[in-house]
Amino acid sequence: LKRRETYMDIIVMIKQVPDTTDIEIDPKTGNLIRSGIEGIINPYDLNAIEASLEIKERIGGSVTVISMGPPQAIDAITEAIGMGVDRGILLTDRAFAGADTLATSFTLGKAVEKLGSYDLILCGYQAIDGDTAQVGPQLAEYLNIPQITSVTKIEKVTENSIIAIRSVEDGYERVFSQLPALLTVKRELNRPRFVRVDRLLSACEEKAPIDIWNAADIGVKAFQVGMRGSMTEVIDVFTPKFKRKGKILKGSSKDVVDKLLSELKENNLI
Amino acid sequence: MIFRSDPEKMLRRSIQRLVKEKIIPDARKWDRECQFPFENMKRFAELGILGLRIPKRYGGSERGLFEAVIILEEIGKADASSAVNLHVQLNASPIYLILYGNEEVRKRFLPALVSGDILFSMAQTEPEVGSNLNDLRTTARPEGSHYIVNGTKTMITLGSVADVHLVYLRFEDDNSIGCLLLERDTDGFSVGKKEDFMGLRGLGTSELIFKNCRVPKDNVLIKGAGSLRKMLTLFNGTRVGLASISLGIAKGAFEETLRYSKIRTISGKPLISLQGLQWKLADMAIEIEAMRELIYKASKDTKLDGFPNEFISSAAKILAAEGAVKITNMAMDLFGGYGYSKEFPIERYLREAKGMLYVGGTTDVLRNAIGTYLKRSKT
Repeated sequence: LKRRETYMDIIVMIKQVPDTTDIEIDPKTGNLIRSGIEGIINPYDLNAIEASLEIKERIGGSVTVISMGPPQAIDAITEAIGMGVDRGILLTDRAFAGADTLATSFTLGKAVEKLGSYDLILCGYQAIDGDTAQVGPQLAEYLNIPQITSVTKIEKVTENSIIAIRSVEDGYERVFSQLPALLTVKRELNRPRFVRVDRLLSACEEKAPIDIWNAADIGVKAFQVGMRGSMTEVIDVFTPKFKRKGKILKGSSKDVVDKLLSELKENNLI
Repeated sequence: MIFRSDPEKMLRRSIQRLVKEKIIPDARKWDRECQFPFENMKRFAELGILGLRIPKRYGGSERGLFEAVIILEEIGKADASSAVNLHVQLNASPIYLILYGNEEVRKRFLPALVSGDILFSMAQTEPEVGSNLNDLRTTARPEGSHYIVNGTKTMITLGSVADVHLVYLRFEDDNSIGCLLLERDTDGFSVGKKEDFMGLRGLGTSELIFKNCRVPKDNVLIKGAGSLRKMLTLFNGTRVGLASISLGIAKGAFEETLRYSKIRTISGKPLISLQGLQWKLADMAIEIEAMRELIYKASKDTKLDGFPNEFISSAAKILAAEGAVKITNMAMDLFGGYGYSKEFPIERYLREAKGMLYVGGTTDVLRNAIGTYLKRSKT
């Protein structure tokens, strides 16, 4: 992969997820009620977009967002362009549906290969609907490039290298990497900017810099992607049911109080 | 394969996010302290909102009244003052400048508006004659390459904060009614009494006083034969913009009420399950839907050189302004004592809705406009 000298090509991977602030659980079935829920850009991905724009503004370059999803996921790309991204690619095909993280990262990897040159790939740390935090690392593995995960600060970026701070369980690590590399970023990294209205409205026009690619466009077969290309399958989604173990003490007030005190003592509660 | 996002939906959502994070948290403070929300106008500039309707060659994005309506409706749901202030910049004074200003003046003011460096007011109302254009007492007397402006304006939105005032007046040389741009730092100009309104308290509303102000003739926008018609046509656009703010107030109050009616219980039942209250909520929803349809239709109607006609624009403003008063009033009834308390936004919605009856022409004056239109029309 050839890289140009004084110019940073950045790719940001984004996912459209249900707006969880709106989500309600069906009290009977325990399932998420998805109808009427707006799709939003995964919040961590907004931080990745913001980081890419800050790097671009500092040292020059261009930013491309890629998203895999149903046709309505184009809204995520439109919004990203509204924020300042230069170009968007929507990967949409019935064959992509039901993909696990492996099939997803393979599909994204194929799209990156089709794009050709890049210096840096940014991903959100995880998607708020799946919570796996696997796609970023798997994509780096597929592309065979270094990765820095859980990034909370980007300290320095040059044409050929990056220094980033990543959060670990009991502190932080300061990591150096050659470019190209892939980063997954956390919410603390920055505050994503608002959409510019003029850019947003232009991004809704036919001439907007958005490409829509299907399986054939990125050269993959249906059995390699989506549910058929997946190693795992989600069998069920449910919310845990909490049941309180109530106990009713009977007898005279004195007996009840005595029983209560002894029970509390037995359970080391007092 | 080509498909794209729906611009109305995307625009609405992006403004909703802005409103939630940057306007709702401070709206009560601006109202309480009678404070002009300068920080909003800066942000509107940064996000390309002030340049919405400005031609691309001056740095804008050249969009229409409909896009302005969507933005104002969403902002109006949270803070009507912020919406009115923006409306003046989107649909009022700069449109006059785009259509009738000379190139030098456009180049001077339009890019400055897009970047938020200047704000406009629109100064029409006078102490003794109200908004009656034919009776204006403010005058412009020619003197060489300038006009000498004298007079007083009252209740001018953004009067105390605007950098450039679009002043309606009578030109003494041809006795025509017209308008010109007068800058804040002009000698002889001063800001008079500031208004302490019941609602819409963040408009920076004030009196303007002109004492022998020298204004370059280049700053004249409308003058001479046909000037009244030009100005009345421009009003058709501003009425629709104001109507969308009333719609926003009504929707904001309705959404709060609907939410409350599902939470608040009486004898174990939520308010919304009581038939008498369901009817009230239904009436509110019907009214809002009718307002919305009429306003959107008017905003897309560009029969009159890009402007809606006087019937549909006046009808939209009347329906929305009166509807918002009705709806916010019903909202307060449903909230009961809580609605009357400043702890909840309902009382502010009601005060704002009342104010919108008077901004940009009372509903009586607008009914007169419709009457004139009907008199002229073929039966």
